[in-house]
Amino acid sequence: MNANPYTVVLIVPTGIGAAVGGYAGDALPVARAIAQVADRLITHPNVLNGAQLYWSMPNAFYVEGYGLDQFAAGHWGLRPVTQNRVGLVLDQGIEPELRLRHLQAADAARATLGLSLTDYVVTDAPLGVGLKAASSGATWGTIQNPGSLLRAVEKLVKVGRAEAIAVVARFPDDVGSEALQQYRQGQGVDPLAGAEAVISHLVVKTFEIPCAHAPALLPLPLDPALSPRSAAEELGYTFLPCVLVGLSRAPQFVTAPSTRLGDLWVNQVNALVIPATACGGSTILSLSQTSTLIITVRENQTRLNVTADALGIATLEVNSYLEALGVLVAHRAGISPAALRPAIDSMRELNH
Amino acid sequence: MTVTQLVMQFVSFEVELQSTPGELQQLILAQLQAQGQPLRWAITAIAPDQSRVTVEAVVMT
Repeated sequence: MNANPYTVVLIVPTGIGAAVGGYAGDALPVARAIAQVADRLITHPNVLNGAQLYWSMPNAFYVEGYGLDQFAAGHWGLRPVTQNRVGLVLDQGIEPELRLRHLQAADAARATLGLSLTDYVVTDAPLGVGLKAASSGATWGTIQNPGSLLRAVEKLVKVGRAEAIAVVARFPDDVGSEALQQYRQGQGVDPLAGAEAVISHLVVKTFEIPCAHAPALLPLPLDPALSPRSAAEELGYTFLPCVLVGLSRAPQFVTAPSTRLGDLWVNQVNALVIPATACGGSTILSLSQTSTLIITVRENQTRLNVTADALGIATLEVNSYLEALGVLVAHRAGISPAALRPAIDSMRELNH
Repeated sequence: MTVTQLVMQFVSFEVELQSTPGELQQLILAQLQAQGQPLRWAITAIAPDQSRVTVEAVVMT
């Protein structure tokens, strides 16, 4: 690795119906491609999690959204690890047979992939996941018993010496809903995504260790019209394997007083790639105040219309991820992307 | 750990658009802190005249 590793942050916000990445880990090909042209890729579970499917990349940093916001704000750094011991929290609301499916998925990750897991903890009350679709079109959610979740995590950290936390919460089965039908057809907004995000955000905020979430759901009836973008979530009984793989090598969070060689901080980020209509998150607002090149992708449409231009954020807008990859290659090489176009404006005198 | 009283809730509000993204972020964080501990938030809409933005969030109280 060179002295100044080229570092890219890739964000596809969850729960806003992103055309690429709004479904079952379907921005993973984008992440794989960026990881080929960057030395380091920082991205979040919504991009990398494909239920039974995953692609482990040695130069990818799996950083949950709350941690990513803290990193972008300069509050936390990222420390690479060789392996995390992952603690598993199971919602008491999960039925016995479904619980056993998840335990077998975790055992499979230990036996087949060699991952390190602690013993598991069942929450002392059902978490009570509630889903909400906001007027903006984004999905959000809450849990009724956050204290129960935090007590379970505390036990895993203190007794089990867990270094990262996988949470499996029982989500409402809503087989007949229009939202679910649209999601399975690769349209609309993931109805579960917003609630999933707040579960992991709560754990990361409280314990400052990596966390990701997998929903527990009953298997759906076979659908011959299933979209390829949603298909990864219908291959098995759990969404857990990708979460365990991601957490097994997720970087630990560090604060300034304890920083050491090899830690990654926001001033080392070269570029951010994000959908053009989803520019209202904390990470992009923070990075807009740094020298990071912000590349917005028009083709990845979302339910929102929060553009960088309207918020006063300077970006380089491209049509597609294919074009974004070209910009990253040029930027990394120190070549102005404008020089690769047929027409180049002449220089003008700077007036103030 | 005494966490039994924690409540997680969804909130939505509007703030005036600021002249820089940094000022806007600080204003939103201040508004969020007044309502609880923010877990997750985003600007989800911009008024047609670009005078105000809508923020949606989940906070702990």
